[in-house]
Amino acid sequence: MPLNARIAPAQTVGQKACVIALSTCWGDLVRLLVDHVLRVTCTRRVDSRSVKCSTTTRQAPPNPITAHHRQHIVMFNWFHKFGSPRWCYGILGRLCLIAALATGLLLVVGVVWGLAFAPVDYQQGHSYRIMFIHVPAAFLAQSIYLMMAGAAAVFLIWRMKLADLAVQCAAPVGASITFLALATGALWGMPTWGTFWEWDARMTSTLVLFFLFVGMIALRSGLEYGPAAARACAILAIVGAVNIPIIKYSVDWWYSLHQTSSITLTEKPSMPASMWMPLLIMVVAYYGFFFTVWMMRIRTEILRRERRTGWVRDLTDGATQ
Amino acid sequence: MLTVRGLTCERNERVLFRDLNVELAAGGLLRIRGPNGSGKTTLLRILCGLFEDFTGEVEWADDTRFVFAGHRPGVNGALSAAENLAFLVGLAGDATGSRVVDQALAAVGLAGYEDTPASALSEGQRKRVNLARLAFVSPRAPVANRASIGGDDAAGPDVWVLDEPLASLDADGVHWVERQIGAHLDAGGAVLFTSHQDLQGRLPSQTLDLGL
Amino acid sequence: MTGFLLILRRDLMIAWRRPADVGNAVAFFVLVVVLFPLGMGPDRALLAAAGPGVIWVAALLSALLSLETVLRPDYDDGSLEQMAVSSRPFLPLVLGKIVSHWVQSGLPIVLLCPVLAVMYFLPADAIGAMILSLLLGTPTLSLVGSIGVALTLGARKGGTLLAVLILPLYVPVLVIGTLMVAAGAEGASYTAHGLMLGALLALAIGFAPLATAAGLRLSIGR
Repeated sequence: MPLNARIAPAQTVGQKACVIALSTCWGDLVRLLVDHVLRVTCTRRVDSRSVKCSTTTRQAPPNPITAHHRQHIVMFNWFHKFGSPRWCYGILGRLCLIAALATGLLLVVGVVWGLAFAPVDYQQGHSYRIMFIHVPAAFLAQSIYLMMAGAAAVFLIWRMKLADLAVQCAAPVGASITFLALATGALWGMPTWGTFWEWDARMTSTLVLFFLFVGMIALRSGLEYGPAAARACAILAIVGAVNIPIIKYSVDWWYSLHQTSSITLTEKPSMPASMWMPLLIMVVAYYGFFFTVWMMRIRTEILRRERRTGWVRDLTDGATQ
Repeated sequence: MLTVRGLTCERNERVLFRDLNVELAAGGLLRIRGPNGSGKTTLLRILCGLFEDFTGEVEWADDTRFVFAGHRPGVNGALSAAENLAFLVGLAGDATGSRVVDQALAAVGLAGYEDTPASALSEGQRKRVNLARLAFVSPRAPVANRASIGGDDAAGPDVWVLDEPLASLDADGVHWVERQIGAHLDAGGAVLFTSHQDLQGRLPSQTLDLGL
Repeated sequence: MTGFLLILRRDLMIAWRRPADVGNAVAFFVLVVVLFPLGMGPDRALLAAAGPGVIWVAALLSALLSLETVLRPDYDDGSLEQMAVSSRPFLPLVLGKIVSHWVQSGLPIVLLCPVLAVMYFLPADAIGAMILSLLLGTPTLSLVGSIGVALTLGARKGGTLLAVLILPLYVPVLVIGTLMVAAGAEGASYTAHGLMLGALLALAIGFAPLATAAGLRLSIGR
């Protein structure tokens, strides 16, 4: 995956395109992976207790409502339980382990390199090093929302339960990462601006992003559990994702017109390789971290939702014995 | 007019009904029976497209229009009975003169209440305002200024989906509803209803028992 | 009569008969605007600088509060169901409800803002910019807000949940609207801001009713 040398989140169109491309790429990879493995395993897996897998090699999308005539309603199957939760639980467990190992390795390398070995910044001295924690977090926060919206779109189009799980589990993780970005930004602000908070464009739009995540969590907990709540959250995710570029653009404009201070947290135009390499490693490590935590949460949520089925009971009985 | 195949619905982890198959043709009267909580209302809502959490197929024939009269009467307290009725009829696609609205209200037993705000009406009276629609939305209804949707001046809605139409009505109201249903069926429409009591003078062509 | 006009006429009749609903939202707006000087002190320069922001935020909050009164009564008494199953297409009905909300909340705000702008010592140019910005912005607030109401109709505690969902989505309109008024106060041209608000409005008109209709169908089907 060729990445631009300038990883730091400057407000350029190219960067935005990069974010979108990255997140769709990741989202697509995951979906392709799930799809491929489903195709391979679906034909031999018929569980009488959970929903039967379709015997065709690829689950066709449900019939679209062809005549949108208000007087002609053709209902289609809602419960296309794509794949078996039990299978998802298993495969995610394996993927999670791989991701965790990779993340651990990358984090160690990135943190040690960035905090200890990267050169000293001539303007900010050693305090710039918090960039290695803050910048990947801010970058990842946006990606998480876009990935969540992507999963929401998948859920609305193909009614895949796994996609709804992905949306539900991405929101709290996204909120935490955004909060991390805000907190580290505040910590970075102290030596740079002299205050813990400065209303610059990026921090402000990160703050709004934080509230978008909070809104997703609030809606999920405010509605009763059920398929309607799942679809409502999916709609909200997509509406929010459409709004994100608008919010960012308007906050940029707001900041540039109200600007009082000229010191921003963004990096200087050119960063030497010894600085952006560890940054890149940290970004990838953060992605790995997100996927690890995301998959762990999804597995837990699968257990919670399927707690009455036999295979979960067997699992938990086995654990207590 | 209506074909249902393999309809299964689960709500709150309880299976309400499984593999339902129904066919409703012109002139058909389908009664859905069952104890409280057996899913009668849910079934009606599924058929009307209000509830989408089910497996199976529900297919309405082309050009079938229907009217749904549910538990909640759809009557706003700030408007008078006549205005509410005009709105409900307007939603069904008919523009109608006020004189005919008054006639319908009189037929349903609300003769002096045309201009009463609906907040002053009882629950049963509000339900009757909702049901007064039935005088309009039928193939044989004589309505002034019919302006139906789609440019065709064909008959009014063909299928009535009624949820407990006889509840909270007095004897006169019950007779009126039964007469309307009878006339509608004779004119080629169909009626789907849930009820705890049987209609007088008209046997259902099909009965669906839920919850047994 | 088209479905849009049918709904609009009905809602405006209801609003006319129940002026308290409309009056409350307007009174809230005025109260919030009046509270700020009480909190900040009557310094002329301070109020002139804070005026655009305060009036806009008050307009936001007032729109938010009055959103529920548009859809919730219909949800509770069953009219929304009837709209959903009627033979008329659903989208114009939804649009009618949104427009009726704007007429009940956005329009009074637009009409009242000159008076309030004078209280904040805003220059005449700024008042013109304020009227235009609110005229272009409040419909967007109604449109985007209706999405939130549609999604939360079935929720247990609608009010604050709605605010948490919608206020982040209101940020662009707020930002550009206040920038427009600030530009007007300085005597600069605010055409660009007006065009941006217009663009946001066009985007909202295009997509918000779809999302609202989808959300309403979800809530009705609960």
